[in-house]
Amino acid sequence: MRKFLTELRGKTVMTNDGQILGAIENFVIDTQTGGIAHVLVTASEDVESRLFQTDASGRLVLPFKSMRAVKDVVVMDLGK
Amino acid sequence: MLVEMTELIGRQVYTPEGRLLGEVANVVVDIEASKIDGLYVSDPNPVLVEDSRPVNVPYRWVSSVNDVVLLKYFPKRVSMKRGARATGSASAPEEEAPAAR
Repeated sequence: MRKFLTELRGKTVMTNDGQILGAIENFVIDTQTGGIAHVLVTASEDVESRLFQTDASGRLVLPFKSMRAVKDVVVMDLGK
Repeated sequence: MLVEMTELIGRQVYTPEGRLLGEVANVVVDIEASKIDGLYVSDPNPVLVEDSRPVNVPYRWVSSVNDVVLLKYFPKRVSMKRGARATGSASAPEEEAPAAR
């Protein structure tokens, strides 16, 4: 499935047990290969961001490969 | 080099011959492959692309990304196949420059 970057940004991110994590802000890419390493998510207020890996500006850093369904929301299988 | 994907948007794209193809307007993401499918140039140079129709440049044609995006390959000229013009819609990500290499 192919999507535009602009379609994906702002989408709500949920865990597969239904917890809302926040909204997609950006992706981390390797410019040599075009591979996508991480999804950067702006955490919603009630998320304990301490439980996740975060970057310097406090965004959640989630592995791109855990993205499952990408429809109206994005479901992440974080396998906790 | 690891960068954030939105940094690609607005960068100029040059062919190996040094021609300016255009600016990256969007990035097409292949979700299953965890890869960038291509760089979407919405208003390409009419010298390279007939009628300046939007093209999705496959990421495998990208040579390097720094101040600009440099391609290692781009067709001499991209034109619509005869007869395809009537049905051809500019509904990328489906549209792609032909002659994949």
